[in-house]
Formats: sequence, C-alpha cells, structure tokens
Amino acid sequence: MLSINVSSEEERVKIGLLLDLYGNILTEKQKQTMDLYFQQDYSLSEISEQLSITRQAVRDSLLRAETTLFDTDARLDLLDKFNNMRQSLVTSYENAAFVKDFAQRKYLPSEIIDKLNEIMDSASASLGEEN
Amino acid sequence: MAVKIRLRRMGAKKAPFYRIVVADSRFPRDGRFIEEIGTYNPLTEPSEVKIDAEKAAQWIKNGAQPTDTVKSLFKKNGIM
Repeated sequence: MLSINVSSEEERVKIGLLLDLYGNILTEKQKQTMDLYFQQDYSLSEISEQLSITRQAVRDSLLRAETTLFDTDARLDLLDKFNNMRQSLVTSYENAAFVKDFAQRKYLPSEIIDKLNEIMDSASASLGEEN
Repeated sequence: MAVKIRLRRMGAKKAPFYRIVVADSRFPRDGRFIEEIGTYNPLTEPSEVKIDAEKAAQWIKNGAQPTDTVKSLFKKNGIM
C-alpha cells in the first residue's frame, strides 16, 4: 500500500515537490504514472485504462517510484533544504517590503528604494511566483 | 460519459499551484477541462483555498464525481 494518504492535498504537494526535485531519477513509466496519479488526480483504474496496463502494474509502479523518492530524500534531504530556502526568501521579501514602505514615507533617497526593489524582484523571481 | 472534479497541478517546477477543475473522465491530450471551479495555493501561509461553492454544488447535482482529494478539500471548506 502507498505510504501516503492520497486524499490529503498537503501530501500531494509534498510528493509533487519530491517529483520536481528527484523526478529525473525515475523511469519514464514511473514518471508518467506518478504525474497522472499525484499531479493530475487520476485514479488507478483510469491510469490503467489509459496506459493499457493492469491496475496492479500501475500500483507497483507508483509504489516503487514512491520508495525511490523517499529513500533519495532521506539521503539527500533536499526537500527540507528547499523549504527552508523558500521560507528565507519569503522573509527577505517581506522585510524588504517593510523597509521600502518606511523609506518611502520618510522620503529617503531613491537609491535605497531601488536597492530594495532589486531585493524584492530577485526574491520573487527565485520563488517563481507566477500565479 | 462521466464528468469528474479533480485537483490538477499547474504552476512551475518547485512552485506548485493547483486548480480544481471539472473535466471529462477521459484523458484530454492537451489538458483541457470544462470549467475551473476553484484554486489551491499551498505556498501561502496558511495555504489558500478558493472554491466557487455555487458552481461546485451545481456540478455535483448534475452528477459530476469529485475525487477523494477534492471531496476532502470540499469538506474542509464547508462545501458538501
């Protein structure tokens, strides 16, 4: 049985990030089944029908892929590192926005505002927020 | 022809963003769906779920099947 609770959206997000980080070490078939199951929310039987493989084969592929992702993350720990880095970027952005607001109200030189804008732009670019 | 309500991931690598979509149960080649009825942004703190409750209720009344994940999201957000 898959070790994660698939009806939990938080766990889906976690698997999604593990796929972003380590997806390339999976086989093509595993990538495909994991994408359909976790990122697109198709059921085992829908995937089995679509790929013309048995439901059991879909399940086996997901199980093996899941094990690979979790084992790899246990060794490399990139998910935690990524989440921490993301959190620092959010904090940097918020702090820069706070200082910028202050600088504008106090009519501080525009060089300061420009630098703060640079910090905010580079943080949001790294966060990849496009939505 | 069955119609499903799914939680579909969009967004860039390492910047997940999800839409709750109504879609045909068959696999669309181009990822097309019938209608978007909500979004889920896991990156905000706390995460942000927006659901058009009226549309959701209408689709369910018309026989659209939410997946378990969508059902759970609906329940947590007071729909269904």
